[in-house]
Amino acid sequence: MTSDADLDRLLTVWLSGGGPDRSPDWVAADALEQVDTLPQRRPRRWFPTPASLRSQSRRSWAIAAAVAALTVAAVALGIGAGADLRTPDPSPTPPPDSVGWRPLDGSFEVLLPPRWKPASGSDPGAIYAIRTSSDGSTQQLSIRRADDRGAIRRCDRQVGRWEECGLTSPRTLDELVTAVVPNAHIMFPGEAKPSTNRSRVILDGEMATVVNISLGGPPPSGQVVVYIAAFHGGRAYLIRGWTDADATITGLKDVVEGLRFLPDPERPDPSPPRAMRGVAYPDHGIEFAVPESWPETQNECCDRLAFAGHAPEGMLSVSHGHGYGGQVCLPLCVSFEASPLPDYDPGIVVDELTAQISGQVGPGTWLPLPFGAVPDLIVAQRLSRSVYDQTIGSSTSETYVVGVHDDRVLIVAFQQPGTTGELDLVDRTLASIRFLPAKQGPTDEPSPDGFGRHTAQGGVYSLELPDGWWPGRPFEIEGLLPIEMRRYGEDALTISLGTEGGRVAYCNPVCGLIAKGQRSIDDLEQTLTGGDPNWTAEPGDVDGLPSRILRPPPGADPQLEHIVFMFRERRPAIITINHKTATAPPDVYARIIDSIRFAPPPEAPELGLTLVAPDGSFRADLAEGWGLPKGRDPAVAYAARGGTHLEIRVGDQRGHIRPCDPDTPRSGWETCDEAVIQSVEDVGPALALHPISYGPLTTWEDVVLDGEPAVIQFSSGYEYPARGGQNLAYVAAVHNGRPYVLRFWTSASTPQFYIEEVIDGFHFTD
Amino acid sequence: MPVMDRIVVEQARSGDRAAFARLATDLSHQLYPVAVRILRDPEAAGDAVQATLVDIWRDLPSLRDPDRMDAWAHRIVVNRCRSHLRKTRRLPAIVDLLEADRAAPSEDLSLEFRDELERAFARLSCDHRAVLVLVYFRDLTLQQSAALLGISVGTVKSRLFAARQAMRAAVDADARPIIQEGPA
Repeated sequence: MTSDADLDRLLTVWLSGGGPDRSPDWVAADALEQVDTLPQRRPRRWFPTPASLRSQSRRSWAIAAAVAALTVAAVALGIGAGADLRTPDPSPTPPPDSVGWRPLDGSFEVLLPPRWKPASGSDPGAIYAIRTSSDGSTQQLSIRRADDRGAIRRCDRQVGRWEECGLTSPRTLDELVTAVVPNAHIMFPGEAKPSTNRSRVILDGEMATVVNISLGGPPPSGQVVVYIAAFHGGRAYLIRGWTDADATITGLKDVVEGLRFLPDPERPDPSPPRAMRGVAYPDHGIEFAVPESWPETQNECCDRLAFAGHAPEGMLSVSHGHGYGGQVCLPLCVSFEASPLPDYDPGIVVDELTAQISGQVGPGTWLPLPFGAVPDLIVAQRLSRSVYDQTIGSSTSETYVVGVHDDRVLIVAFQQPGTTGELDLVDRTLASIRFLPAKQGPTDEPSPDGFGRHTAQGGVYSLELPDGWWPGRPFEIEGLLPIEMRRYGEDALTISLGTEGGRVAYCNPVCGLIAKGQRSIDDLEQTLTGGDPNWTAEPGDVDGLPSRILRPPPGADPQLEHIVFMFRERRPAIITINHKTATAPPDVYARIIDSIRFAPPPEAPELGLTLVAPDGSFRADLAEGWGLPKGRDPAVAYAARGGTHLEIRVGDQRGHIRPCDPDTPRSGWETCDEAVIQSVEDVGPALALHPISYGPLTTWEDVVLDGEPAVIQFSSGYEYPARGGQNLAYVAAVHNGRPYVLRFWTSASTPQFYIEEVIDGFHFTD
Repeated sequence: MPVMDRIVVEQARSGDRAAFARLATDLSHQLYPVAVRILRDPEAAGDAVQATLVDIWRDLPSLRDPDRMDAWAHRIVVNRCRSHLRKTRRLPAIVDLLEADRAAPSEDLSLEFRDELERAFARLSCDHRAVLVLVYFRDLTLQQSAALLGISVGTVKSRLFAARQAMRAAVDADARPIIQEGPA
């Protein structure tokens, strides 16, 4: 057999020689020709101005107009503001595409024209933006507010040694201005002496001082720094603009016009502290406190614990699994796993995991977690960062903690809107973490022969497990749709039941997902062995179902044994034993497999109602539980069951169909544009969703809809702000040249679409 | 991402067509070699990249972080390749060698052997092909590949494992001696 090194070399040589390294010119040229007439799709604003603020908005723009008048008057009087502020736009209304940004505490909001783009900085409490002028010069902006103790940071990085970036605690506007004005009596060798002038503007009704600092002479020359200092409600506010162009900062007028202080009731009351509730998970060996109003989400998965809530808004995931990794779910789950080590070293594991998390979530500085912040946690690192999301128009604060306790990795991920989040909330959660002693085994009475019967997967099957073995742990693949896979006995034994669409998870030994197409035992054999004739295949059975036992050639690493069969005729199933990692003798696994007993298939549900197409083209017999909600469109058939909504639409003979109501898309990523579906191959591109915010992630599955090939497109995402998971499924088929789209939607954390049931009851009647 | 590139992305995101022209040219040279290796068809790869560039232009305003441009573009082009393969998957499995292969044979790989590799590669899904191309052609690490494809490292590992297994089968099949059947 070819060695790994040889295979690597062959693939590198073959793929490197397998085509040109540059694109032919026609590719970009043709694309640009198409783009010439194509407008860009502008994202919807995800930060709508609440109705209560709109009147204030008008007020603030009226004030801005007054500012304009006042400033022009000031210029006339020779008071002398910065050039940018002397000629403000007198328009009383904000530019139509302005995006509102505000910090978590809601103390102010700034509406900026779209030419300002979000930028990042080291201060999670600041708002950062950047604007690029037509001449290529850039302007940078930060806006900060003093904290509860009155301290405010002046800048992130000093332009010259004359500029002090540290914290200052001014009590008056004069003190604040003094803190940002360069000291004219101190010169630094090799650095230009900045020239300074001051002026006054009105900032949303508050008198503010503009400090305009120019650097001429030798480098760093040609730079301008402008501070606008103000006090509001007893707190200092500091706007800092910087440009590398030897010119004025023209964009600052946007800030003066766009900033408004928000009334106190908008601010969250810092006291009393948020009520917390304790949660304990003996199976995970951990207990901690979460905000009282945050329910657990997606509790079907045991690799991590996830919580989310609206008041306060935020998300938390806690993973305390094995020694090499865990998951982060905010809200979509991503697994991180460090490389196994011959001698376990928590420091190396944590370093590798923090690097992986940074690679996934973005850059940031990991700092050691103070000793005792999480009792008993060692080599812990913490990353706190603020991420600006242009599509939703505000910042999100994120905190990640990775550490090790008793050779098990703890990963905590915390997210809240705003630039800082409620720092005490994450700290309180961390401080509340307690590790529980490992459980020693099931509490059931041991059976006489050392085996006990357990029911798995909601009663789908039962099996006998040795005393001391825990009923299998669910395993989630790719963080999305629940896959019916359970792992037993230190993960040496995996039982995976696939879907009727031919999808099935398996471990080889790394766990993955066979996306579709497994329609028979032969398909499974071909997929798992890769057609390698060195594998052996023997017939067998699992609870009377014909199976095939697949074994790799002797000496293969890992030494896997796959038992493949079709469950309930259409669902591919795989049982895998990894003999290399097995901790029990082989006969124990054989006994477990022999003991598997499948439950009879559920009886067909009682017929509840029949949906008939308005044009008579289909009929859908739906089970008991479905109801008829009011529908907006008489051409659409509507039904609802619990939190699941079903809409069925039929397109025209040209394949044109609108898959959803454009007035009520269920998430920002659902566009409801008219699509053209002339075959099932068109479904993916035609129903493509618009990536935004946290999603969506999409998977596809082939099915049959009353004899016609059909595709199910599942999408799960997260709608900001904190409206929970958004789960969407389209079933699309073409019949007699017309597209049919069944649209399912639910915001339940565990999506229950009833798709198979609806498909079973669906009939074309044209 | 270099500052200048970031600025170009920002400008293109604001609707600056000249900036997008620069960006599209750069991206086409990055994406086309990947697409052509996934699809094994220069024409189809050109179409996939072209469609990708149009997608990028249309949806560029929704790109939150210009530094994610590369990852975003690669994900779109892989999706476009997937879409192309979906449309053609029911066609007979005829594998044509790329023109480039015929014109400039890779070092020490025979035509028959490369044909064997092509056939094995053609049986892989788009996702598996993409992982192989990123790891062996682009020389990316598992972490970099995961970031580029927007999937977890574990998923990259499992796809790479499966893809390598399939390719290994082809390599080993080529290495097996031919058994002559007939009377002793």
